[in-house]
Amino acid sequence: MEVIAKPKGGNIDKMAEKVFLKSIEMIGGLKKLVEYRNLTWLPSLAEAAYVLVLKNEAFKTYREIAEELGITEQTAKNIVNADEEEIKKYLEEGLEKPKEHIAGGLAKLAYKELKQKEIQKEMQEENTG
Amino acid sequence: MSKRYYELSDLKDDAPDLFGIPTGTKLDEMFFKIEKDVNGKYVKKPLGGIPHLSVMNLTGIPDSGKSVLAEQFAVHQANKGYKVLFITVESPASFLYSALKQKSDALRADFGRVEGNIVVIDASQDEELRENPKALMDTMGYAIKEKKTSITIIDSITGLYEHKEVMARQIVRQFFNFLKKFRQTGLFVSQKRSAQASESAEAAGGLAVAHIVDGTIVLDKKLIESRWDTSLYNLPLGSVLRTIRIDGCRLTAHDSDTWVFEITELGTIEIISPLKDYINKGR
Repeated sequence: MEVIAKPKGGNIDKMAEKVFLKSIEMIGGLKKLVEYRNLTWLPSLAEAAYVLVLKNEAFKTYREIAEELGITEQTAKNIVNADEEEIKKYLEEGLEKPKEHIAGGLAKLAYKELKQKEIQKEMQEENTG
Repeated sequence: MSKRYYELSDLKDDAPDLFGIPTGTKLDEMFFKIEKDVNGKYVKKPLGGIPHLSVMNLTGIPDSGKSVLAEQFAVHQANKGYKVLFITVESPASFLYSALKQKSDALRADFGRVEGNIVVIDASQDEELRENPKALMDTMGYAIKEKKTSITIIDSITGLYEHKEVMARQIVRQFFNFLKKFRQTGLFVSQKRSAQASESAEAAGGLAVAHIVDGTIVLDKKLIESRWDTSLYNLPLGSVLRTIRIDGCRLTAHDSDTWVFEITELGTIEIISPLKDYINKGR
């Protein structure tokens, strides 16, 4: 019988911030941002980080996310459904610019990695506890 | 802007199928639907449990068997292989474990399977989970999604608005909507205050709970304390008569009689017969 004794879910702002920072780390860190110079996609990345956290951690519907962030439901759907593997290839191999929501795919890669780490940490705690 | 009105036909695909989620007690035969048989005649057909995707309120005075029934339902479903989320607000998780194990043994269930299929949120020991509905709902959302539960039991919902009964309606509504959104079949255990008529559906917090949920099951107990009682119920002085009644369900038809039940020595609920038959037969 699994017992959950502490609140889960947590602070949405903090979690979105983590996803955002992890995304930046994944594309080479802050230094790389300076090299890129053209940073117009950063707000899109922040938006994508929030959409993913609201969808996966706060279990909001697309409608609720759209209302909360002031975006369209379709944008929220595009972010959640972005093919992160395509984006990974694009970032690693510099292939043709994909049709996918790039910020969405990047934030998804970051979210998945953070989630993976969280699961590993929980498993370690279970094994040692 | 999302759609705020619908043609009735738009809702056809979203309408849930009507079938029962068994509790393992006679309560399963007390919900029914009306169907046409092969001769075109309308017949009553037992639903086989509480309605799928309903959120039912289980209310009664202290020691009327509310938690016993809720735990029995959890064990029965978990033993059938369904994932159950049990939010314990009153009893710490370790005590709940013992109660579920005992019930599992009494019902001859496979405790290994039962244990594997029940996820518990222990709100009894964590103030934030008890006092902050949002924190509890986030945690429930996590458990429902990660553990893929289909049944949620809160024992008790009253514990979430203790000392702030003015908030009762709002809190019950939030949890009701939450279970609907996550497509859970739900059971809210709710307490009665001594000032409320024991056989009524009214729960602590006034009429809040009974009006919001899909239906109410009222448990009651009567102490046999007069010569009149002993002769009417044919029970010895000082004994207890327990009753159960479905006090309305907006999703399906149901038996409206008051039934007599017992809590067996093994701590399980056994519904015996309608009170009127029980009295007529002299037990």
